[in-house]
Amino acid sequence: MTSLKTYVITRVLLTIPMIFILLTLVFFVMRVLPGNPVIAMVGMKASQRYIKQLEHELRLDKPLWEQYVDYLNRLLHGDLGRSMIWGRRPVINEIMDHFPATLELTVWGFIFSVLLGLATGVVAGVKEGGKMDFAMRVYSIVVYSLFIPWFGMVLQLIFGVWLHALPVGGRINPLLTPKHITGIYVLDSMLTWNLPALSSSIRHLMLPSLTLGIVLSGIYTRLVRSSLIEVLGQDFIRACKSRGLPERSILFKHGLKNALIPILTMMGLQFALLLAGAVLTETTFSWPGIGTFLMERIEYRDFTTVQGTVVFYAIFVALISLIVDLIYAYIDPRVRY
Amino acid sequence: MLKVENLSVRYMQRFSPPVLAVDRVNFQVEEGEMVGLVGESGSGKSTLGLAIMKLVSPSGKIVGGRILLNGRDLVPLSEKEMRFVRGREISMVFQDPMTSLDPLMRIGDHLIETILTHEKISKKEAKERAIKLLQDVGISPDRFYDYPHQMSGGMRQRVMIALALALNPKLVIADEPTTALDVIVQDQIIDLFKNLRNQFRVAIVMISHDLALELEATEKMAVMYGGWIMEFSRSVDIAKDPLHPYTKALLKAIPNIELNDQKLISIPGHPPDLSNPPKGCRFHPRCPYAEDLCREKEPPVHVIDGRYVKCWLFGSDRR
Amino acid sequence: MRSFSSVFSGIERALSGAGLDGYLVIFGSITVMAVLIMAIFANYIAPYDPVQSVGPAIHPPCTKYIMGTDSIGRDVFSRIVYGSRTILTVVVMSTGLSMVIGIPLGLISGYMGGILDRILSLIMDSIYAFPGLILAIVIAAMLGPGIYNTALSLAVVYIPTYFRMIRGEVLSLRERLFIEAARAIGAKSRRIITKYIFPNVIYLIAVIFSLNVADAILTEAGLSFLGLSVTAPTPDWGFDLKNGQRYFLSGIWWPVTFPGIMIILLALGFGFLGEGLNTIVSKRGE
Ligand SMILES: Nc1ncnc2c1ncn2[C@@H]1O[C@H](COP(=O)(O)OP(=O)(O)OP(=O)(O)O)[C@@H](O)[C@H]1O
Ligand SMILES: [Mg+2]
Repeated sequence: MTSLKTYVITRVLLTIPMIFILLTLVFFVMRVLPGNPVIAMVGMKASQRYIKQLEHELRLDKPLWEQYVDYLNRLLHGDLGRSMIWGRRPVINEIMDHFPATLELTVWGFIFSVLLGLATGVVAGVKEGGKMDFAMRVYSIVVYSLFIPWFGMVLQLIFGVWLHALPVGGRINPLLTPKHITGIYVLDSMLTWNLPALSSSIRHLMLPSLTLGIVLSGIYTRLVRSSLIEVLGQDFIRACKSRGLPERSILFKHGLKNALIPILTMMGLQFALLLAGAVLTETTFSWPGIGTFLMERIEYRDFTTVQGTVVFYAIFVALISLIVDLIYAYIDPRVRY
Repeated sequence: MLKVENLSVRYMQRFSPPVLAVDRVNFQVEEGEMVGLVGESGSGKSTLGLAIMKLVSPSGKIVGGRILLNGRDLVPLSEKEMRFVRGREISMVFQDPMTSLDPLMRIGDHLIETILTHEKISKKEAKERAIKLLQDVGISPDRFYDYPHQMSGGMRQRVMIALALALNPKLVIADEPTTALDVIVQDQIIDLFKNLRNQFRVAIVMISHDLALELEATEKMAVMYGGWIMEFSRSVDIAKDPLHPYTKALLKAIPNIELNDQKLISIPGHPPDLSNPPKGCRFHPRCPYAEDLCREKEPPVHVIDGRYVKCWLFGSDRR
Repeated sequence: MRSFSSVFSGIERALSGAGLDGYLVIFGSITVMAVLIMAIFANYIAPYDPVQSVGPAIHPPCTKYIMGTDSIGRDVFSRIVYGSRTILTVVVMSTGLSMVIGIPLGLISGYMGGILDRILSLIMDSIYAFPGLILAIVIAAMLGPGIYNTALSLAVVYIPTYFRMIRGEVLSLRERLFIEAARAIGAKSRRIITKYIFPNVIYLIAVIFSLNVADAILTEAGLSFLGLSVTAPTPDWGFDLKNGQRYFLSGIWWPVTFPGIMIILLALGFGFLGEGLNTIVSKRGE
């Protein structure tokens, strides 16, 4: 047990510098890059007085290091600042309004991409160098190259306009919005047993999450493929064969299970890709998540909100990678015991 | 019981010529017998062992000969039919116990899985048998829920042996089962094999490059070189009166002083490159008795007093 | 004519034994070459001025406008031809910058080891773990639109890719004998890096380059789709695709479809090229 404890502690400790570096990067990007953020925000034509006032408000008139310390200090207290437009709400509240939508989209996209990636990766990895292997490698590159907005629009055209089968935008029929519990509509409508809302939210989810899932599945195809090939070449697989175990159980129970461990350790990085892809998906499908929110605030030059949102992304990514590693530690007996 | 006739195995390689790692090999194993298979590294011992279980694919292929198990030829059998031979009639213990167990599976589950795959019994019965097997190989039952990485190499090899015996096979092929282990543990494992052979009445093919060990433990012995079996006879005969020059050289190379662990004062020269073997007898470049004939033509197999030897020095016109 | 066929047989020999991966390389190189030629000779290929209204708005593809016209009557085909310049310029500049920074840092960090290596690795890994497009979005938003700014924001995103790959390779090379030997005869670090290590990572750089460019193309297109790359009249595939989005679902498919296909083709070209090369080279290495 002690080795697990040390692992968890080191892993948690390692997250701190990572968050710290990312926060510093964000600070750097937001202030030190050429160009005055205030002018970037309000435009050249604003009056000098207004610019001065904003600079003061954002503490941009202080020395850089003072700003930096102040910035970290506020973050440490969970303060992301206040939005600069529309009622000046705390940024964290604004983010939390949009976060469930993104979470819902990415989780479903994640599920689709893993399922597709597993299926194609196993088909490829079972026989390295075979025709199917090549076909699946091509699949992985082709889907990854599908430019998300374009692919999303094509799906909208086919399933929304031609087949009239699925809605092309939004999260849910607004009249059916379920009672707010988690903010994740599928979950909320199940918790309140609201079937019309459930069906509406799933139908709205279909196209965006499929778009995201299919495009990112190519990465899993490659990961599953190479990991499976590696595992199937190991001694214990031959030992399994020497005991007359059925091929299916060798492939799935022994081969795939072992192959998934290294893939799991890379899930954190994959999730970052998912979040990036989600920005494009949300924009294409008018999905009211953090991605569209960020783009909207960039357009309105809401400096604090943009900064807060990126900080949120940074912390979220670091936490996801921490969680993934902890799950890995729990699953792999070599770490657990 | 097991009769291997003219068996050949070829490995295909993508960017280099094919390797005929086992070339028209003959030998047999009787019930309950311990047969040694010795030879330098690369002589094709493992390949032969794997070929008997038809486990040389994907890169290797049996390209000729027969493997008769109680009169039934295994070579034409499909993968599916082989499934019922593997583990149940012939099983195998591998060289490296560190990598031969599924790292994500508990020891006990390995055994239960193997038993339940082949026998229609309840899980409870399977577990009882698994525990019994662990005791037979000297592992305490409270290790049942251990993962492989929690065990030492010697213990893992014991587990591998238990797995090999789980279905009461008639033949176990042990491919250098002690090479990866400490010296003291090596002796324990060999003793275990000896005991289990009597207890389970199972025949064992013991692959090794350690001639001294084989001479002591086995009844019969096959000496391999460059994909050929050079000599096959009773171990006592080999110890007293080796026929083949290669066997003689191997015997000479055994260190006399038991105490120090200096393995094999090696035979001068190098083993042949099997993708481009020497003409004539494959041993001739290193053979002190080599003649022109040896350099030109492959030697035939002679049978002398029930002993097989593949060398020009013997046979009616010679000796 | 003879030199022509000898070039061909040379290619054939290089790809022999490559099997299907040979086709990936061929497809990839042809696509990339085609777009490159399109960009270089844009003024000869494009039939119209890409930033001028040259016909009726929203005209479907016909013999006069082979890819139709967009919402203000500009020729879609001409914009595609000139748009290849924009995307290639941005991508070439940004990957060049990432390489110029990422590769030397990776070489030094991997070779030197120690505290410098740990700090650099931690920084690079952190950036690498952050969603690339989002980082590019913020940098581009702060810098404002423009080709150079876009290239800069992409470069920041891809520095860690080069750094990590090169560093990993150097670590494994460092253990190899010939460098030990070079060190034993007292060669200077700088000499070892440039003379012994760098030549050994060149092939790797070619592979990462292809795969990374494929990625950079998609990110550039993403940035311009979000309106953060170039400003209004400049022809740019992602930007044009965004401008066509409004009309797309009402059946006006051409202003979206053609730029989209071009983005995908170009990314595919580099992706296939990198994949094919990588497989062939690693097979040879066995
Ligand atoms: N998968 C393979 N592909 C190609 N050649 C192989 C393969 N496996 C073994 N060989 C070649 O076949 C020959 C016999 O190998 P094998 O492993 O059977 O020898 P061995 O006697 O067991 O040696 P060792 O004592 O080292 O285990 C060697 O020349 C080896 O290089
Ligand atoms: Mg061997």
